[in-house]
Amino acid sequence: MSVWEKLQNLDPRWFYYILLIVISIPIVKPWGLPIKIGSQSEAFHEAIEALNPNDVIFVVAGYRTDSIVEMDPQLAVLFRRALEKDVKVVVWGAVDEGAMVAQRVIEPIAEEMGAVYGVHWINLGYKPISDALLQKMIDDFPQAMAYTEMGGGRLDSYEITRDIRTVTQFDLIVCLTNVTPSPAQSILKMITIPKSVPLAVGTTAMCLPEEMPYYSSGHYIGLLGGLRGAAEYELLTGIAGSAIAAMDAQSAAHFLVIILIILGNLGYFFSKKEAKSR
Amino acid sequence: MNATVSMWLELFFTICIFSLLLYKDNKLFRFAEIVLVGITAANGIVMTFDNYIKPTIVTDIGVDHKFWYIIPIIMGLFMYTRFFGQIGWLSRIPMGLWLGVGAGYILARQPAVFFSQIRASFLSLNTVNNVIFVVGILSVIVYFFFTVDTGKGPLKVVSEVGKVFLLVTFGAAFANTVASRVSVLLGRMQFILQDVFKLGV
Repeated sequence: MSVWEKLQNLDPRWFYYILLIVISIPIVKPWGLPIKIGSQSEAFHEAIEALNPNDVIFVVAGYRTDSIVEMDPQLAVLFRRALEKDVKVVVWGAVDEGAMVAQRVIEPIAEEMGAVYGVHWINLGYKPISDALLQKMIDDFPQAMAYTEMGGGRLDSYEITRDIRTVTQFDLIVCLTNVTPSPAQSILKMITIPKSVPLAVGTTAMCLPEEMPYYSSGHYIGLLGGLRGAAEYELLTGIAGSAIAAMDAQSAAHFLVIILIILGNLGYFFSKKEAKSR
Repeated sequence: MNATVSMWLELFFTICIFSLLLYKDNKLFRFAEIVLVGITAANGIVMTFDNYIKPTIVTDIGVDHKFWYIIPIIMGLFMYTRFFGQIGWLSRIPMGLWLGVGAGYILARQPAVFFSQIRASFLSLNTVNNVIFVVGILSVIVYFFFTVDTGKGPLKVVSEVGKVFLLVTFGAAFANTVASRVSVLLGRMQFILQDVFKLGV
């Protein structure tokens, strides 16, 4: 058996062992590789910077625990930047785990920055997304949100939500999503296009190709893509978070994957050639 | 829950799941898998009831006395009749309503998205990016012509170009999937190395 054939038949577990080592090295000792900022992240940043004090943004937590590595840093830096600018934040969990995963990110930040629950921010909890619910948000926002926030308190008892009658009152909707069908596309269809409420989106690298056409066509006013997008936004805002720290390891892993793909293809090519010559 | 207990539990379940890849299928992995499925299902049910169904019923029916809301609740319960043979046909009523409303919303709202996407493809061909964009759209649409034969003549050339664009798109989607999956592994390794063993902090 030739070297190429041996490589082709190598136990896949070896690749995982190598990947673990390659990822671990930069986590323990970061290299500080440069990060280039993309236009989508810049547009997202500009959308947030354009907000004025006391504006209210509606943050849709449409992701689950399987994507917290990519989505949590996006939410963390967005929430921190909004509070810095005195922008109020209303969070809604559009998927079953959304409200809870968002809560564990934003609660410590709010505590650290002295933001008051119900005044500067609120979590409305999980209300399952559907076209009918989004239409209801336009017609009667409190009823769509079942009149309550996550802990069961009534929306009319909190300063931040007392006067909100329709979702169109929000100055910006930010949808952080990694599920299919995409909540962002539903919001675009039901709220953004008919009611002209601006929409910015954050998503995982995997879902990025699905959301990109809507950014290119100008429907989304900003787009953060995966851990890379979070790192770019951290750089733009100057808020150091976990995304920048993880970029070296991400780059190292991508480099390894490229090498493995090249080796795999070379192996395939030479094994076929050897088989033919035999 | 105590933060330390929570951290060690997280570490234990992470190792259980990793054991499938780094070792082989085993009872620890199965245990972690079952716990995950159970907790996810329970969380979904509790959150839906506690955050949505209960407050809606309490306020709309209990406080505002909108008793006609009981009708959609009953219709919703009809969905479960499929588990009871003879009255299973009742589940078709809410399903029909659901499909009708869904189709209505799509017919009313989707064209606006669709047409604005088409409008967004009307670009001036003054940059290389725009030219690639327009050529990509047209050739891929030609590739999906099913009513005319795209296997010969000039249409074949355009169709082949469309196929190349599709393959590039699939490649990009695959690369993004790799990036996402690597991020998940990266998050776990950050947790193990930095949070648990305090390395590189």
